[in-house]
Amino acid sequence: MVIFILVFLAIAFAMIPYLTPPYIQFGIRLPQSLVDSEGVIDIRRKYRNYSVLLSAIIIALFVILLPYVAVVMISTVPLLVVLAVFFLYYWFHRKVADLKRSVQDEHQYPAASTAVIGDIQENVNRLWLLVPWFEILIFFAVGILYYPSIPQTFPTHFTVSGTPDQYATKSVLSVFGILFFAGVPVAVLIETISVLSLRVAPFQNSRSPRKTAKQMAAFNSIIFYALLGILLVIELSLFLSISVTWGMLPSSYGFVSILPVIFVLPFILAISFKTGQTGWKLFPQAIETPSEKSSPDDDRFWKAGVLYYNREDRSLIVPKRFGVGYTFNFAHPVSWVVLALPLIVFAIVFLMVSKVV
Amino acid sequence: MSDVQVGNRRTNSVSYGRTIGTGRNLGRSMKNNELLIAIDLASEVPIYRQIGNCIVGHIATGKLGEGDILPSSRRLSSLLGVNYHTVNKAYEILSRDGLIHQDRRKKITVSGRKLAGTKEMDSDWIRRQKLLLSEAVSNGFARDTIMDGIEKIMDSISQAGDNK
Repeated sequence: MVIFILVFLAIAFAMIPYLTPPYIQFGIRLPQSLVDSEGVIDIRRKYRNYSVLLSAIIIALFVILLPYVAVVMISTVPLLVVLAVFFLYYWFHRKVADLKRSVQDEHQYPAASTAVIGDIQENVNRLWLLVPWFEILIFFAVGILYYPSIPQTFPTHFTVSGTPDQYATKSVLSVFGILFFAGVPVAVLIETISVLSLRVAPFQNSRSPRKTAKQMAAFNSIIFYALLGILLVIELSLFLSISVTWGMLPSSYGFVSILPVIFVLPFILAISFKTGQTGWKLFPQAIETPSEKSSPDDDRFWKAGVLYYNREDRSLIVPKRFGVGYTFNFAHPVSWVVLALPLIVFAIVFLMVSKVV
Repeated sequence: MSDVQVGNRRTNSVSYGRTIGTGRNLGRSMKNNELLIAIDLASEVPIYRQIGNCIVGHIATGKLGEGDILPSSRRLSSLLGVNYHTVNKAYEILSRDGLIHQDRRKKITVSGRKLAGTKEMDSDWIRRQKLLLSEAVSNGFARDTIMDGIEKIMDSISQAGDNK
């Protein structure tokens, strides 16, 4: 199971430069003369190969060492992997930056900033936002119907082998607590993000602003629905693991709670390949005469090409430069509040659970 | 193109209020009523002026009409990647000139109020016209060249309006 997730992440990570727009590579805005140039194509290919190699080593180490140092692995390895993977990215980020510096003088087109207003808009039906709430309601209803059959003392935690090792006394709080204090906030959080994502502005692309705006509107709509779909799966997965504690499903079925999440990963990868970051692969047949203007160089707002910090920009959410999806503008105070939210939710749940036990 | 249409219908879209132009099924095909606001960052003309000029241009050609809703200052500033106050300033000047209107909920609409015929507008217009034409004459433009130029500009404005 874990191997599957690792392989998925390895593929996704190796392919990122192919998913971001050709004019934004490794967190750097490329001048037109470098877009899809041989130098960049070469860097991209090298990055992909090194990335696959690195992932293969990590996965191999994981498989070999897992039986011996399981506990140590689980706590420290993810951090090490993140660091290794970041340094690989950063090395190539620097290479692209050097390449850009070497051609800087050649691109002297005046920079232009463009905005497309008017009929370009997101094509979504917001009634879909209600669907996850129906799902949660159904889970509560199932819980209420099943409530009489839940034993007075029921297990709340299982070991890897499926033997219960923590118990709770039956009460409304202990039975519905996790669904209410984890399921509901997660739904609120993801739906908030999916609504906010509809208004995210595209990368500046002054060469073909209309096409870019249209692609971004479509991309945002797709993300809106994808996030709702993912939310449905997360809630289902949460409910399945809760129903194991209720005794609705035998504890040997504990693994089913991870299954839905695993189906989501290929789904995300497929969407990313279809649309590309900010939807740059969409509408390939739409033609817009490219303008000679170049886009403003906004690299200075992207620390290491991944962290966006721009006081002048009042938007909270912007498209990621390296990856598919969105990131925060860390100059916006709300971004820190939102980052702290999961911690707050976790703290509440933790307090609840420890009180119940 | 249908592969990106996720929803079937546009029931509650994020639009700028009343859609500019004609259609309800927009955002699906490249149409002319997507309006471009382009800022030349190398230009000596201040950015707020350039934004204002773009909007005035769209109003003159009829691409923006009475009641059309413009994006908020915040929205337009994030689309353009320029400071919020710059966009605000552009809107304030347009609003002062009576071309757009900001209501209590900060919704910005094209006012469509025709000021030609009012005393202040007429005198202001004549003053500006005089200034511009004097500048042209003192730089040696012949009367015919100036008249020709005016004709051509008027033609291009109304032509763009017809094609919308």
